[in-house]
Amino acid sequence: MDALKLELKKLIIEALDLEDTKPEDIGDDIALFGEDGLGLDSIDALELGIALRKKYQLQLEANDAGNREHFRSVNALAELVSSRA
Amino acid sequence: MSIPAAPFLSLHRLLTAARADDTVVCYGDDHRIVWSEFRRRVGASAAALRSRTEARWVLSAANAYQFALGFFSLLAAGKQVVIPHNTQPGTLEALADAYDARWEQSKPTADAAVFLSEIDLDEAVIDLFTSGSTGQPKRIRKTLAHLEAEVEVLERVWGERLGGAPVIATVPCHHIYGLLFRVLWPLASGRPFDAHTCAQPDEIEERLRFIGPATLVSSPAHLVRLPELVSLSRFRYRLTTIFSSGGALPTESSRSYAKELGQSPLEIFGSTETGGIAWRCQGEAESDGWAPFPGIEVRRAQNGALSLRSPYLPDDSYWQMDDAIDWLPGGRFRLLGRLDRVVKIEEKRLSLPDMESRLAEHPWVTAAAVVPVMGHRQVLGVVVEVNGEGREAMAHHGKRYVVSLLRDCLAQYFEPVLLPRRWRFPERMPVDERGKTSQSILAALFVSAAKEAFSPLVERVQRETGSEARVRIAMLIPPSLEHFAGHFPGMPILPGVVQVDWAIRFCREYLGVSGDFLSLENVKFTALILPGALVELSLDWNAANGRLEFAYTGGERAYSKGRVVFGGHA
Repeated sequence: MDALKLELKKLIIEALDLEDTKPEDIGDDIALFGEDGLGLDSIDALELGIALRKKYQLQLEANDAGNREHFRSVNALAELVSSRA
Repeated sequence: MSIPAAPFLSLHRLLTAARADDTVVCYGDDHRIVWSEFRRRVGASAAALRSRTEARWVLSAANAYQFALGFFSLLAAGKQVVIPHNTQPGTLEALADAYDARWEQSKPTADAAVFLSEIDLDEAVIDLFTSGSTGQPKRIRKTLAHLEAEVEVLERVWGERLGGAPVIATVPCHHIYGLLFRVLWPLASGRPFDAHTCAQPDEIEERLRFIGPATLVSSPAHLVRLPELVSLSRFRYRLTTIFSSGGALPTESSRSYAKELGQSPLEIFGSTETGGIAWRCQGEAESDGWAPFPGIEVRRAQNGALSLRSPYLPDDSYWQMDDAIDWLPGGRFRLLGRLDRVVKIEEKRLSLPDMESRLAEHPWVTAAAVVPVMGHRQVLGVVVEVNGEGREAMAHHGKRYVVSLLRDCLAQYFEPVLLPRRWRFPERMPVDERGKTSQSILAALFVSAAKEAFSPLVERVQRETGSEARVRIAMLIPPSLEHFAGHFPGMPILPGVVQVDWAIRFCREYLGVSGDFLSLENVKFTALILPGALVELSLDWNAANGRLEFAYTGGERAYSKGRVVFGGHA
């Protein structure tokens, strides 16, 4: 699971081209979106969705509320990826 | 042949004029909503609203069907519709003075027919908002007459082309483009619209499976990314028309749609204040120029700005935009960029001076400049000069900490998409050779480290018309260039060998020269090129004898010139 989390952090940094950010700067439970935390925006959500689909062949439902929950933190993402793998 | 839409109804007669009860209004998650139900619910909701005393009502439903119900219920009840520009929690608070009550979701009702009358075109007021250039939301007041006039023009221009195809969308209803294209126009023309907004590209496929071939109302942010996820060819015959608005669609992107779908997106240029101004379809016309919509009178003001008269504006006088234009043959125009320092980042409008003044409010900041930076997406870069206190914080807690503090300050005023992603903290603001902190010298700070180290910053590439073999490249020589480091210590000048190297590199890139380098002839270096210089490199390729003439100039000054001979040319 820790390997997956590290992989996800690298994916986030790379896919979103985050400046001055290393995997260890992203806490497992830190909020990815919104003002407190990593501060990602709606375009990031779009691109992160694309990156996850490409890398893990994830199919996300067209259900906004569910996706928001999955995209909440690295922990939630790892949960999602491992449950669908 | 597509099925024709139901007979067109003017918006003010939408609730009263005849239309078949079983006409599909809209697609919900897994069901259709028909005309009789829509009118019944509007009637019931309007009746409830008439007994209320509040005049101005916020409408912020994300679901397009709920939005349509709210819009017409409020107008039918003689209420004013207030549409916030985004659905962030802080926005409604900021607009507290602009409304009296919030319209809540309408529930299905079994009520019998309720009395509905025509809506008074000039009495029906709709307030839209833009994020404004001062950080304060700016109210744009419309009457139903403006919106109705625009919908009728859209139908005249594209009604036949669209036929009866349903409308799906990736853009929200609360901006004027979404309001017109995915709600009001479909309602007037009897084309079913999708209640759902496709936030992710593959939801489009999902909705098409349920709804069938459709028109897509979208924006460059989505259209550019869609091919990354699904092969566009899968949408052939399924997306029958694509609209794009919110910014210019890159030519490349437009071409890939033309290739895979057999059609380029129809692009709309307009603003909340003016409504639609012009449209284009790249690839269809000879130029990429914008054609004004019927009824819009466009002229070029003294300062080069687009100025227009439009039936969608409050009065008959000319309205001046901050977009510079020049004319193309056939009454089309080309957009040359903004005259003020207002940019669009992923379709969100931002005044750069406004963000700069917000940054300067911070006690650590002595000077700040904001520039758009093109990376894998368009983001904002910030160059900040901090005082001793700021530098101390940087030394103790690191750059990330200082960035997050400044970012939090900006987050109080700007939407997340607009928050800067690139931060530079030079000791002093960089200046070019004229002593100016120009956009390009600021942009040079953000060129990715590897590229920045060895390349000039290309500002503009101009091809000689009618010739494949001549090109002029305007470039800035970044002070951070690696070549300056040892050449020479304390007296940086651009080495001649680098100038020749760039000439060769750019002739391969822009003129497609592929032969091997053979020799260098007649090279003359007549003046020194210093860090921050703005120079123009002209390249003239003679394919017959494999010779490339190059020259670096800057205004009146000639820096260098020479000839490169290539071998192995056909």
